[in-house]
Amino acid sequence: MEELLKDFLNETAEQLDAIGAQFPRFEQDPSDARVVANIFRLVHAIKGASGFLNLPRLERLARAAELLMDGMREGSVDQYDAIGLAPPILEKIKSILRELSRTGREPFGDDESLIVDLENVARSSRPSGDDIVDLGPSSLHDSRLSTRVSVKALDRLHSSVADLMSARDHLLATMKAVGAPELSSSVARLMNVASDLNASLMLARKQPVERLFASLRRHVAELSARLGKKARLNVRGGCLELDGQWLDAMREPLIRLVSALIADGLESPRERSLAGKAETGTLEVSVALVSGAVLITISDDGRAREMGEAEDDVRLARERIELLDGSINWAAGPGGGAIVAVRVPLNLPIASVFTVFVGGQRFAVRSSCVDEVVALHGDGARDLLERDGQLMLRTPDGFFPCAFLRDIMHIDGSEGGSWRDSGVALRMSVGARAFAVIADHACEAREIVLKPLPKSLRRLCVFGAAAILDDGAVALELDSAGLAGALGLSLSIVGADARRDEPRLKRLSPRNLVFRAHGDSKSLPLAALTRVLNPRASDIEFGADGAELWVEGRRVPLVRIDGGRVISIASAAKALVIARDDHHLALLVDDVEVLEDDENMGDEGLVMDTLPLFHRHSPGFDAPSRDDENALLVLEPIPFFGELIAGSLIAAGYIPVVIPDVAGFISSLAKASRRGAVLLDLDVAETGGAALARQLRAMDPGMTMIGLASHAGPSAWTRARAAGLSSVVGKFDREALRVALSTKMSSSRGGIAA
Amino acid sequence: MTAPHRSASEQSFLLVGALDRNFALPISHVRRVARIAAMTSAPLAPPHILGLANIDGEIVAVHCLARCLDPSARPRDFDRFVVVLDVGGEAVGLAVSSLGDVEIASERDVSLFSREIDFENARSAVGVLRTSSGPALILHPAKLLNFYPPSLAA
Repeated sequence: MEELLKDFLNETAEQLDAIGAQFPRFEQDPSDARVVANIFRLVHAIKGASGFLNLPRLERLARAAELLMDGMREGSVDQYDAIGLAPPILEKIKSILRELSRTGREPFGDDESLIVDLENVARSSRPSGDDIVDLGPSSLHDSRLSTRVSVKALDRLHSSVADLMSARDHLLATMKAVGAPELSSSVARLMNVASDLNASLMLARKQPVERLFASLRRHVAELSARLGKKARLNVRGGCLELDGQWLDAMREPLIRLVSALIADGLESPRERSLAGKAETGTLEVSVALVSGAVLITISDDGRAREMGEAEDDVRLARERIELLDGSINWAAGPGGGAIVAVRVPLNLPIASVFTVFVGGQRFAVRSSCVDEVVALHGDGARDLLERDGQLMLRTPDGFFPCAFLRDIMHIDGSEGGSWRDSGVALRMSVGARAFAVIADHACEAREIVLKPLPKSLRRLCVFGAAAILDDGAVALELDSAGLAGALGLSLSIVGADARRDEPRLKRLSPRNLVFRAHGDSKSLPLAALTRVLNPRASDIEFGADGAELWVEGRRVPLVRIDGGRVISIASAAKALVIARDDHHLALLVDDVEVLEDDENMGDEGLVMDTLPLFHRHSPGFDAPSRDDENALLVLEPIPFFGELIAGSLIAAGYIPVVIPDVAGFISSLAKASRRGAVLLDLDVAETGGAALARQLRAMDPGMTMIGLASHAGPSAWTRARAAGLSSVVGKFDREALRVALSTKMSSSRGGIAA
Repeated sequence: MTAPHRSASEQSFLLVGALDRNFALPISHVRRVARIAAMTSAPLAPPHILGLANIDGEIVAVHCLARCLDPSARPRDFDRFVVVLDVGGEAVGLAVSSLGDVEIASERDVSLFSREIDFENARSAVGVLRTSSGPALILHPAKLLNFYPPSLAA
């Protein structure tokens, strides 16, 4: 028996070593059937031998491991669950074998928790090679309330429903054309049934994103422990429900990205302590739906660094994501670490859309992306403020950047009539930014089957998909994020590369809102304005301290522009709601006239200084003076961007001084009594942002310089670091800018006293 | 479209016309020739993409062969027939000025493209096919459709 045991120990040790060498490959690709088969054979042999040699502890462990590996071999066990459990079980077997070799006896010990984990994963396996989904509430395991259906069967059903919807549309169009009123009730019923069937099917395929997060949590725990690091995963969006197959497809690329962040970016607990950070690093993962696509952002608080294709995990993740027609971008985090943004279109083939006409051609816009459809009056004079072909849409909710779809898509000519006859504006929003696009005429709501764009058109980010309409013609679906990009309103680093070649409109450059009050024309910086309202008497409360206007559920002091109390209002009066820090005021004016650029204002004295009004009417308002440490110098040559950045900084409590030219900027900087932080647009044409940054760094080695880049990717980060910049953030990424300022200025304590 | 019977050493090509010359498309890349009833233009698309067509329920981008080869070429009216190619698993329509026969060529009829021969549009061509009506450039569909005019290649 001793000889047998010795042979068993020797052979098993060799096999364990061989599998150990294969394990990195297994982690890279858990579907590698050869490695899975090798591990299965090993644990199967151990189970048999340990039974024969009367080693009950080893036998029980090996039996549980065999069950797991068998599930993997059959493809019925979650691969990433198995990855998490395979190393501890092999390590446990090794330790028992070591003791057995040393003492000749099986050591005592409790493997219960590990065996329970193994059995749980194995039990959660799906019963056959087909993927199975539960068609009942996940919390209900009563077989009377739920049933399991193969995903392939669901896919076939889904395809049939899509065909049914197309046939329904065709039937409807035919009925309209030939006129068959006796069929109308039957067709209406068919439409309802088809819609219900589609909605039910979509619901059946949905699963909570939390399922994906659970895998990530296990992976983070296992990988960080193996690398001697401490990491915590914070997630947002777990309640969102998405197509189960989509979740499965996203699991591997996300695990690879998380692996890259932990392995290459997260410091060891000791390194973090030395750097003044908490020993446990944090990874943040958030999932959100944006314009028919899923936006996933992953960030960490590790060391500032680049991520690139050189890292296998990143490259493989990108390949997988691109297979799903998605895109991936990364950037250095504003406070260190890295941010990875993944955008993947949702596989939702049947969508409710508006069809609109532009240049005689039909286009589809997802109903879910449209906040409001505004019918334009006549020539649009009431609804549009137009200046040199650059527009703002005026609605009771405020002003919105606006563009003609004809301009965005470069559709010339008068084909299909003019928007002036029956134009409509579609108000949409992407993230926090709202905008509008104008179509030539009427829209119709309908459900259509969306299909992926041909590959040759996927570079055109204005379009998201294509569809075959009821008359057999093809319609392109307009993508709201792409439209926002065409208006220069893209706020996300997502898709920045893809949008590089997008034809763009001339940027809107309004800077001041001109209004009339007490018979005079005055103006306000647009950045200070949050809303323009037509106040109704019922929205106003008159009290001892003056009038207050209800705005979005809160009372805002309503004052005259001379600071006087409001006693009554005329029916045509407007209220301009302005903000400074977290304080709001409503200014009562007679009417709003036009938007003007600074250079066209004629009389600079007209621009109102609202600071005294805040001091007088907003309790607790204590704005910093120009000498305050929160004053900032901003170099931004494009007025529109300057306005955006200034607005964002004002809202965050800073006092920006935006200077459009390099010479003026350097002059102001030289005169500043204290140097702390400046913001530079790295796209400045005069000298090039990097060259200017080097020049400024030579002036003041201690100054905080933050670069604003249209694409804050790895290359921008590299250039910025080389030029001596403290940080670089996306030009439209307000949150990143605020974080960068907060972090960098708190470390250097000071701004520019301009 | 069914390829005519051929021996192992023979290859079949579909002859098409554009820019007043003949071109040969490997029959292995040709799914079918389809007649399209209507086409939807694709705004912002590169000029060699004429639009999108519904071909038996599949949405296909229709490329103009002449413009693929010469971005400055005027797109000539095609007779509503397009060659549906298989490019990387995706159906792509190719509008041509004229459709020719399927040519079964032996090895000696095919010459590898040589640097010494200064053909136009060499980037899309992989060789020359000798036919009874004269030489035809053999076009490689994947190369052809990846060719973008420099102004559009970012």
